Amino acid sequence: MTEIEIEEAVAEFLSRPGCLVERQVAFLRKVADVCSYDPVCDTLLAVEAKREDWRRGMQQARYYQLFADAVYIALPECRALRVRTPQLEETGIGLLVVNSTVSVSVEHGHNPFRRDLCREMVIERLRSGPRSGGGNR
Amino acid sequence: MSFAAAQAPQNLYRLGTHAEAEYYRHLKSAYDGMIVNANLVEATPKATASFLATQGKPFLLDPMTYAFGLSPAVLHSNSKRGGMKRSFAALAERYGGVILKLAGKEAIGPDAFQRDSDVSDLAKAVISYQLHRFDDIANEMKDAAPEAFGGLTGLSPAGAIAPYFHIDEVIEPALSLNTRLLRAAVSLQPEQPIYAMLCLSSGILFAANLLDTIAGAYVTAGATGFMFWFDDATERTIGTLGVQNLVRFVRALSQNGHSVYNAYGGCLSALLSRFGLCGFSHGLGYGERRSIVPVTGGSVPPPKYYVPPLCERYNVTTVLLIAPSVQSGIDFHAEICGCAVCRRVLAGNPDRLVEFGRTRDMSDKNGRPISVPTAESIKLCRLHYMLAKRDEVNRIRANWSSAVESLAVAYEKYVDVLGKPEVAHLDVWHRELTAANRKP
Repeated sequence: MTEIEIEEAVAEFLSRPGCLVERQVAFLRKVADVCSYDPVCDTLLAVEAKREDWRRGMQQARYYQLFADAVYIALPECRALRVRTPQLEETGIGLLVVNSTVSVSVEHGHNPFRRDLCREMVIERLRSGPRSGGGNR
Repeated sequence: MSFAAAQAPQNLYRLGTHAEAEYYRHLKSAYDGMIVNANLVEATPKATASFLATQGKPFLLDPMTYAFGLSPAVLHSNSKRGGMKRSFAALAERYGGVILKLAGKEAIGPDAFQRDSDVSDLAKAVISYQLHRFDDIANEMKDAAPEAFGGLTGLSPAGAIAPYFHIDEVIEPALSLNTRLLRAAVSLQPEQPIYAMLCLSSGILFAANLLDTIAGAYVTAGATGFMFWFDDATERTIGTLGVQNLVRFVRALSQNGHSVYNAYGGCLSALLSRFGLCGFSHGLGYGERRSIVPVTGGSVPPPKYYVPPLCERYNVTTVLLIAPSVQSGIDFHAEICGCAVCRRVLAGNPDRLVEFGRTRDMSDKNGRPISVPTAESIKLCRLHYMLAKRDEVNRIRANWSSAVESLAVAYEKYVDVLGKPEVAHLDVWHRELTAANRKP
């Protein structure tokens, strides 16, 4: 399973009527793999997709905690088994397991890093649509 | 105008491009002097002269002779025209002698200086270039732009740097050539001070015996002062031995009242003022280290936010992550930075730090979307850097011991957030500088 396939599966999983879902969302020189914003619940989610290296995924996902209400890393099922859950729980980052479907394996926790202005920037970006210059990967 | 007027550590900038000039004009009080590479003078003679004349700061021209000692390929132009870069070709014309004869054809080394006159001629040409180049430019402008001529009268550097070439770990015969060139420059007895540039392989920094040999050879050569440059050495990663040896080297060079500068340094260099370092130079938010290749700096690195307690630049996202407890402007100014730029931009809300990292969307050459810093975020990072550096230097001037203690405080505070590799330098600097301060 490639990272792009994981991204696609997660984007589909997060798609709900009225939800804004986008891949490759730029934020201050970082790029979040998948973001979704539900205007009804006013909830912003961000997901880092990884093929295998969950620790690296966690490092990336930490940056998303600056803007998202809930942050996850997404891994193929075979790799998700190796994740040390307590380490994830400590950071408040959740885990999505991807195979033929996507399921929440570890729920996200409290995010002490969220900054309101960063959140607004990303929501604004989602509302304005995909980035110019080629669109989604 | 002399460098001696400013208190140590002197905060000197290297002019990278003329696009940076507006920052120096805007914040004249944020620095003590300037160093300009001779190739930039040749590339933009009138703009450089006009800029220096309006700044009213002491400056030096770096003659960049070491570049002619490298492989000719590094001086080649990438343009269709080919050949040597125009600015270096112009320099070679002005330096004449061995340089003119061999530049662009071979790496000029000690073998090229067969006769004593080869050495003395180069010393004379290079010193004369630095002391009189702006007179020539003023004369050219007198005819072409008389209204701009007035300010250039008497524009003169605070000293001159003797011709120099790179010294690697073998040290000889490059060391002998360099000290011969220095002695020849000193023997010209110009009114202005003569400085030596010690352009050294970074491996030398970790060999105390080589440092002692080099310092011993230079201190007796009659120079007013020294600038050292360890190729691509990063203050943050030189470790315990590197800091110990830097202290040793600065002490050895500064004996007998010689002025000593680090040609590419940052916060650690400022702290070395306790042991005899007069000052350090760097670029505008970059250039606190420099590799001898490429000789022209390449593209300016993307802006980052300088974090004063960590003595390092970081992406804004990292800065926001390391300070989750910072919930107000007051917290931020107390913990991270209280400079005028940060106060204006944050306006009480630390979230507004994002303004230092704003990007805009563009496409790369393959049509893929990329994010590049906005002009405004670049400007903010640079202005903040200048003010933060000025404050850092002033803190060290006012209370060196307190500045060193703050390294330990920052280490303890951020080691769990950032991890040891990111902040280990603070611990090393604190430990080694404290220990060196106890030993005379």
